[in-house]
Amino acid sequence: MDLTFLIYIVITISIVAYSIYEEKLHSKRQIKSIEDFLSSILDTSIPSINTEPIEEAQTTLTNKNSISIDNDTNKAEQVDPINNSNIKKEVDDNLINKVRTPTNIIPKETASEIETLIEFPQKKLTQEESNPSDYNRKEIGELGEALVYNFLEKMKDDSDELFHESKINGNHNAAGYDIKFISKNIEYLIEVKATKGPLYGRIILTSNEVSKMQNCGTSIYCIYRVYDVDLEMNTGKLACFIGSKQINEFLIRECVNNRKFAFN
Amino acid sequence: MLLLGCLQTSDDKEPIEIILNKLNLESKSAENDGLLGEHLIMEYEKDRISKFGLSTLVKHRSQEKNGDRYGYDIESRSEGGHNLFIEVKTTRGNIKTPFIITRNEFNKMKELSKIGEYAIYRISLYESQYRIIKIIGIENIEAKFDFSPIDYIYKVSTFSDIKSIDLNLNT
Repeated sequence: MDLTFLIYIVITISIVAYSIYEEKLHSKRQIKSIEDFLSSILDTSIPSINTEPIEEAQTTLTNKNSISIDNDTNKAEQVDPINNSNIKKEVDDNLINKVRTPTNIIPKETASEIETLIEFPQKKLTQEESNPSDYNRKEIGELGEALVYNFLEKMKDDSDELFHESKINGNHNAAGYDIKFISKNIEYLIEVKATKGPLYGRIILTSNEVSKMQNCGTSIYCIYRVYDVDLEMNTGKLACFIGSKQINEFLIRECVNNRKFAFN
Repeated sequence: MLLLGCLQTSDDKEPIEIILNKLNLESKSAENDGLLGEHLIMEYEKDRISKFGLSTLVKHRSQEKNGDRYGYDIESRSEGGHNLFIEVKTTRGNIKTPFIITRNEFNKMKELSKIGEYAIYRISLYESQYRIIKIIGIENIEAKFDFSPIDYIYKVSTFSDIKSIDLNLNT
């Protein structure tokens, strides 16, 4: 019973406080209506041949205190900005002044509204532009491996052995490397990391690959970094990091990327 | 804000399990299970805080423009009246199935828990039944889950002078 009464009292106080606050803000609110009008004028996408709203809009500019917010917004949208240079000039001057001194004239929330409204429309990005690293990731990876395999095949002697592990096993992540190269009884485990971007761009190593790198026994773990991959020309550039010493020297671990959460 | 102060506070920080049956999952338009789970939680949260008249405050952030930047899926209100940031993780089958948290989600988890309450809603879908386990608060999340890295970001040191070889598949 006490709690209900308390809630009732708090609600009543808040309503009264809000109404007082509303009254005090009344004069400031008029400015908001002008801002709506100004931003609408600048929008050239709504031309109109109706002259009535122009007169009303002019009234809005001269008699700021007599127009309500809603009416003003609706009418301002119909004004032809091209055929009313006087209004536009006045509007431009007002807007420039207000944007330059937003804290003096415009309440904070209105200033942020203007900022949003005068922002240039953003071009819709294609998948490649919005996330260049992810676009065609699979194709880039496959081409990178093919380029390295092709390169090693040409380099190898008759006694050397070459296995494209990720293709043999099917499961790309299982082995922790992509290509096995055996030369003079030394086993090289090669992980190919290919990107369209430059050499210094980010690459992702799975925990399985990192684990294999750290625990590869007598084998030598290598990262073959293929960059500037061109899917159309089937070309790329290769930088090799052979053995844990070179990998530690030239590759920096920035951070953990994804994490697996499991109930304990 | 005054109204929010009237909500009852809850000291229950233990994971809460909810089982709801006979859901017509096919009626939900969803591209995948993840989105379906988010829709379910949207409805669940709206219903949960509708008694306070606050259901309009539930926001489906991940569906907004550039929604990934938020690092959580749904914004709601906790029983204590604070902002509640919800990450929804949905799988079919066993609720114990591990799930993935991205780098951005993980970083945001810590940031958001400073300005409000953070929660993971773990949903498992099985036929027409779904189970939700709510884990509220970063301390509980750290206590209830083991989290292990799946992958790491590396980059070549920009100070290195590295020789490169041109590759061409056609030659």
